[in-house]
Amino acid sequence: MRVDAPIYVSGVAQEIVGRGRPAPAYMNLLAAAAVGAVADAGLERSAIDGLVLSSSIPQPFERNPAEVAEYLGLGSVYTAMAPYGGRPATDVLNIARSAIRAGLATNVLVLSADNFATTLGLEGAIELYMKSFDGIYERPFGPLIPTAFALMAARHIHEYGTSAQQLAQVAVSIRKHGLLNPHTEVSGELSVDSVVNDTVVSTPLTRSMLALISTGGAQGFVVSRERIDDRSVTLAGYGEASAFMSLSQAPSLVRFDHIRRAADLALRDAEITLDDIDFVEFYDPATIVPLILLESIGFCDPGQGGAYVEGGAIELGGRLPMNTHGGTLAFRHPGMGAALDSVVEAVTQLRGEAGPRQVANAHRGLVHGQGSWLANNGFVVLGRA
Amino acid sequence: MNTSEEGAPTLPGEDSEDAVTIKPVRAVDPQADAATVFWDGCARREFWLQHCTTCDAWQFYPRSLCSHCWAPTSALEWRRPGGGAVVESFSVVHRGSGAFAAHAPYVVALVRFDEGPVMMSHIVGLDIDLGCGVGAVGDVTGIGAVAIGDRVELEFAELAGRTVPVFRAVGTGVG
Repeated sequence: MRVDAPIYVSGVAQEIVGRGRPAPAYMNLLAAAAVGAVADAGLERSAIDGLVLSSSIPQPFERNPAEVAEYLGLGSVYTAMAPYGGRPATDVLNIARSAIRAGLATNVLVLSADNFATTLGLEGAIELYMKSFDGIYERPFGPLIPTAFALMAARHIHEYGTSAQQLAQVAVSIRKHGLLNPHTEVSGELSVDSVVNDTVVSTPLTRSMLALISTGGAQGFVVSRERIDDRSVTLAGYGEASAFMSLSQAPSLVRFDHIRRAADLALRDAEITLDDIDFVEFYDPATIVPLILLESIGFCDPGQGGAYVEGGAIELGGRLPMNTHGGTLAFRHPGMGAALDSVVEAVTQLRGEAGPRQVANAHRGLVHGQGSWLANNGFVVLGRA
Repeated sequence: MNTSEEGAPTLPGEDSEDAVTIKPVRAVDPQADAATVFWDGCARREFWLQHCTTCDAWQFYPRSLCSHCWAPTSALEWRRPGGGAVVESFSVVHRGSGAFAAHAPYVVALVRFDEGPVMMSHIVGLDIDLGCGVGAVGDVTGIGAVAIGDRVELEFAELAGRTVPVFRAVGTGVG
């Protein structure tokens, strides 16, 4: 088949655990996501001839993909895995697409699950996340994960005059979306004042400017060579780039050329421009990140991210609805699959099935996945088929 | 004085407690792990950075090649930078985790040496007002006696069980 032939996301599934509730065992989560995604696609299990597994956060990984295929009784299938942390997570969709274009499979099951915050507890989960920092030169200084984003935020404030109120506005806007999601793990509206005056975790970021830590969750997808039915969504473009891993090696703390590169590659692949994007689902581990993404991708000029989000521009009904499911700030952060929750949401939007949080006339969405404090970024363009 | 472990290569000054005798330049041992050499130096309160004799650039973290021009190990040398740096960014961590819980609040920073490289470290010697939120902190890019862009000087401190390089705002030192 042609290397630029359209490929589709025909089925999605999302395993909901609930705030503070213990998540099921890892394989139970994967199995539920698999069954859910295949049923959502309207396919029989026998139609699945490929499996791509996203690693759980604990490294190197819990299970290899052939074990998972065997557990599911898939028989003779292509298997592959993205096996390390600090990935964009969205990469597994592109791996599935590439396998189909290479003729290795026709309907690829893509699975992701995490439950480490259940098995390790909250403190254990925080410790695990902290291992993302370079063990030799950075962990000796005790940065929290929020500290990475705090260092960016402080520099952004220094260079551009971004305000704490603008950093808070992102949380306020995305919380509104989360409260429209029946599966959100948060409750209650936020105000700019409540966010600014919340407990400081790592200056200048307060608790309400940071992602949740959820007990677990899972996501499943079927990526297909054929358009199965009118609920199929086009996997129209993918772009990815990394530029550093240790924070000390980042060329800048506020301007990231590799983010622009990854987004441009995705848009070129989809043969569209930024003007064609109706909504975005950005990985939002801290409220500085959406500002940096808006600037780095080119939705606004450098330094203008704070001004962009004022006045509700990223809310439903605004010019660029963002994180319509609530993102990791106001839906959940289940682990590696946080960006895949964003993909589920984008598919739901493009199918017109988002209910009270539906973006009007949603034809194309841009989904961002990130590994390790913007070190590694993957953008997916999804469109109505 | 010498707390190095695991057969680390001999460095100048290793068997002396007088820093004056430390040679300013040393070849990079192609067999040695650069990270071990770096931290063994810190344990003796000596800070060594790599400098490339081919492209005249400094690099942090140390490597077995020059990340700027790919010159081999033989082109690299250990040098002791002047110790002056500028604050690129910093964050006051209010609640440490694990071994760092006892140290909170502490100030994690990225500092740029006058020689060019950036490293993560701590800024020490500040009077930190924890407040209760960003609003209480006030100017969030300036706290106590340091702000982004300020000059800081290298020194050493004990942190979570090891001797680490840290930085103190110029003019706030106790000598």
